[in-house]
Order: sequence, then structure tokens, then C-alpha cells
Amino acid sequence: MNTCGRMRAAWLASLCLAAGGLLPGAARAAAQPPVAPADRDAIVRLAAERGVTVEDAETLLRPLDEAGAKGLPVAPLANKVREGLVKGADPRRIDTVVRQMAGHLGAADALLREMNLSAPPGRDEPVVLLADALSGGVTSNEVRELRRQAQTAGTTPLASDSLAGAAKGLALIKSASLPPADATAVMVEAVRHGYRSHEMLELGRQVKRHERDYRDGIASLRGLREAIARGERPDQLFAGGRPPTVERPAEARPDPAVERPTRPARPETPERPARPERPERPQTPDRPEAGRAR
Amino acid sequence: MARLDYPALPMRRLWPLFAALLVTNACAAARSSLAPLVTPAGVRFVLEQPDAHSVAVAGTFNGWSPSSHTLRLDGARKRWTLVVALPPGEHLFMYVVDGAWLTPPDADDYVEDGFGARNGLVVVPPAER
Repeated sequence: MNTCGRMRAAWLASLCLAAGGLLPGAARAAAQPPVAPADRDAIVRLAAERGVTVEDAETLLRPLDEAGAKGLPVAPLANKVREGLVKGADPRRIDTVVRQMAGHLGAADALLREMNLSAPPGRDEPVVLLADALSGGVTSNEVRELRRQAQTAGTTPLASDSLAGAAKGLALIKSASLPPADATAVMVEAVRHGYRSHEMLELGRQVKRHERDYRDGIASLRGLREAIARGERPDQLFAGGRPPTVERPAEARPDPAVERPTRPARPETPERPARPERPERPQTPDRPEAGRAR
Repeated sequence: MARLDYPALPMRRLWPLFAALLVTNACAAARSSLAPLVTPAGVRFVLEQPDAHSVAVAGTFNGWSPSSHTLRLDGARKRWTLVVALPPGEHLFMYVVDGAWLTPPDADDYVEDGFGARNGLVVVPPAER
């Protein structure tokens, strides 16, 4: 190979390397194809059936294409468009709702990337779940705090699934208007004890179901956290349909070893006088048969 | 000493009360069983709409198709039922009764749909390994 040939080979090699450097990002974007032609046709057809113009249908598809180009999950957005169309919602309303959803998906994806917790390629669940948590009222800062506390408390590195599940559980508890700090502590304890993503969702949902008990002080998030810390599993926590109650600290409990003072003996109750015997009832006369025949 | 004479309990007259209590309890039990039930064969959707002509379930699992999953009327119990095999996870759904969208009377949870109605939610737990 002459010098010119070698130079050309080196240039080609450096081009390949440069392209290789860009690959992870490109692969991530390529992992989320824009709306599949069949899905696109189905949405356009459905829109036409509902009297939506082609232009409006294209407007509805735009946020899906944009999300796909950013590597965000597209399927939940396409499902939302279909839901809006079959329910007869106004296309502008559908567009607003879908753009909100896309915004939450983008924020969830950015948050996971910021924490180096990106979901493996082809797995959208953590992004979708975290986006759900954000739309349910959890803030990005609360997710960061959840991660910080879980990371401090735990021994194994936190996975994206766990964080997303804990965040959604937190959103469910927050929806019951309970203190976010206590709710975060519950979820951190759950992460620390290896609760799986769906178990943390169920935990949040159970608290939401028993919202009144928690608000009235019959149950407390502190009690729930203590129960998790004691090693109770999710199926044990609300066994019998009741939330765990607060455990009294040991010093507040009476020591069973200490002998109780003996009760003073009860005074003897005076004997009751014997009841007088009932007098015999007089025989009731036979009822006339005609009264019964009905 | 004055003696109180209690009338003998008219048990025969109390039976309507017992019957009413029994019916109330049975109704409460029936209401609670209207939530989708996860069975080994799939999720069992149940709806009490004896006067309806057609009932379907639409949700995230079928692209919100209002016609692909129609429930069958159990004539004896006047209930519409259908078992749908669903993968583990959360599934949003609503019923479509004679073409009208209906929020499920009972579900694991409810979520606003953004279009002015509430979707029911059914949770299918992952199979234990």
C-alpha cells in the first residue's frame, strides 16, 4: 500500500472511530422508532371516522414523532391519542394531554440519565413509570432526594426500576395528602429491604386505600416504616385489610417481667333471693282456621 | 314484688327483618365482587347492567377498542362477564355500555383520563418464580 493509500485508510479508520463515538446516542434514538406506519394509518383512519380532519390528525401525530426522535417511548402516547379519539374528545384537548404526557416522559428520561440510571435499551417501563410518578405530583427534586436517601441507606446500587417504583409509590401516598417527607422515608425503607417495583406500587396504593386511617391517626407512616424495617413483607403489611399501627417504644411498654401488684379481693356479692316460680299460663284457645288460610 | 310480664318473642314476625339483613349483606358482597378479578386464566371483568344490549371493555390493553372485547351476559345472574388474558402490570380500562363510556363501578384504583372522565385500573401482579 502506498502513502496515499495508507492516508486514505487512516482517514477512513478515524471516520469509523468518530462514528463509533456517536453510536450510543444514535442507538438510543434508533431504539424508539417513530410511529409505525400501520399505527399511523390506524390513527388517521380512526380520526377520519370521528370526523377529525387530516390536518388535525397530523397535528396529533406530531408529538409522537418528536418523542420518537428523542428516543422516548411512543406506545403510551399513541395509546392516549387513540383513547382521546374513541372517547370523542376534542382534538385540541387530545393534543394538550399528549404533549403533557410527552413532557413527563422527557423529564423522566432526563432524570434517569442525570442519575446514570438509564433503562436498558428496549425497556421503557422505568421511564413510563417515572413519568407517571411525575404526572401524579412528585417533583424532580423529590425523586433526587428519594435516590439520595436510598443510595445512602442501601448496600446495593439502586436500579432504575426500583427508583421508578418508589417514585410512583411516593406519588400515590402524596395523592392521599400525607406528608411527603414521611412518605419518602417509607419508600426508602422499602427500597432498602429489597421491595420490588410492583410491591412499592402496591404499598403506595394500600396507603391511599387507607387514607382516612392515616389522616385520622389510626395508622401512621412511621408505623408503616417501622414495620418494613422489622422485615415485614408487602403481603404481611396490610394483612386482614388493616394498616400496621405504631409500635410503642420499649420504654413506654410495661415490662412483663415486673410483677403486677395483686388485685384486692372482690367483696363477696350477696346471694340473690330465689326467683318466685312463674305461674302457669292459661291455655290459649285454638285459633280459628279461617284466619290462616292466606 | 311487681312482676314484669314480657311478651313471648314473635319469631315469626321477625323473619322479614332477618331476610332484609341477609339481602343487604348479599348485595354488599355482590357489589364488592364487581372489581376485576385476577384469575389464573386472566382478568375477569364483571358488570351489572341487566338492561344493556351490549357491553364491552376497552383499555390500554386493546388500544381502547370499544368493540374488540365484548362481555357475555350471564342470564341467570344478570351480569356481563369476560375473562381477558393480560400481561403483568397496570391496565387502565372503561366499560362501553350500548356505545356509552362508563367508569367501572369498582376497580383497584382510578385515574383521571384527561378528557373529563375517570379510568379504572386493574393491577396484574407478576407471576411468582
